[in-house]
Amino acid sequence: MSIPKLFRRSLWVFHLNTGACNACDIEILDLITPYHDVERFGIKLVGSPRHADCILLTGPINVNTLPHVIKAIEAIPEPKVLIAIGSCACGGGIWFDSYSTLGGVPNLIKYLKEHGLPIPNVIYVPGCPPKPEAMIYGIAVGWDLVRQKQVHEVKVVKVSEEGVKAIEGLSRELKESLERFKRFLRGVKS
Amino acid sequence: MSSVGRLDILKKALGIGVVTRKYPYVRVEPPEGFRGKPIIDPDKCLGCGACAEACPPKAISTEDSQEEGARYVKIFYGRCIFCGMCADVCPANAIELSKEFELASKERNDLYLVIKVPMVKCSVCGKYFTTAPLLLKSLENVPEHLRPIMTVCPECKSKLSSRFTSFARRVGS
Repeated sequence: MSIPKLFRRSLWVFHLNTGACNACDIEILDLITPYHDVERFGIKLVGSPRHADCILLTGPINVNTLPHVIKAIEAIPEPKVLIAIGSCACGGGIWFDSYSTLGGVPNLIKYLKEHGLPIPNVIYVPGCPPKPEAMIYGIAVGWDLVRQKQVHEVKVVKVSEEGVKAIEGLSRELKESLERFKRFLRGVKS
Repeated sequence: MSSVGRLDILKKALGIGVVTRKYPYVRVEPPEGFRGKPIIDPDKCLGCGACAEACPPKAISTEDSQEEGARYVKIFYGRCIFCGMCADVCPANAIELSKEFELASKERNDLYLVIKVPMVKCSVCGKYFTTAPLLLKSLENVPEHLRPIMTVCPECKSKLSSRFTSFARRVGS
């Protein structure tokens, strides 16, 4: 089921730091200042996961914080949404292959799925740290208020025909000179 | 007790007015010098992999496919820290940090940008070893009599040169 059908009213959000450097957390606090004011969408930070609809995760999911993250996610009533804020949460950041982190939310979701707690609704908000506008945009994308700009792209580099011909000519030249070299070697032996 | 009364605060608040920005409905321009989403220009990219070497979180990676004869340069925006090192080291100035910051997505797969660069076969062993744009670029700086040997992969080149030097020594003695 899509997210907008699940939550038609105000969204209460629980914020959890899982080993972030505090930059993302400061930007999250920026959201509830009068300048950005997310309460106009009905979004409110709450102190307990039991009151929340959605969890904001910052940081690369430290191994030490993992039990607490799982407890918090389990405590949120169904249906729930997980929002990964920042590069650390989205892909592990510079700690993606560290021994002491799980390497971001994608690995956390894999881990939870293996242990029987699938989370279908995830929103990724990259940035280091993301602008408060980027987080508002992330929520707007999740709730289909705006169209998602970021899509998977494959671009192909084209080489000019002259270039291809030049390379082919050079390789032909090298093969010829090699054969000449071999013939020369045979001539020296005999 | 402060000396400012409630009415004074109200007066001040009314004087300042509403400061809230209507963001998702009104476009916000990032400030000057803002580093946003790095974009690779496929017309300029050589596929050399300097950006992948320089990237601190290894958000950019390269992968050679011998079957398809192509090198894939992948950017994963989910791990990018927007430092701009890739744009600094790029020899062709193909990477530019745009002002785009609206990268949020619902799928992890949407956060990838893949550049496919065609590769060149080694003229001795027939394996793909370097990209065509990079070879063409480096040919410009090589004297003409050495250009054919540029189409040989490093391993074959070392074997060739060892044979050649031994041959030269034998002739000399």
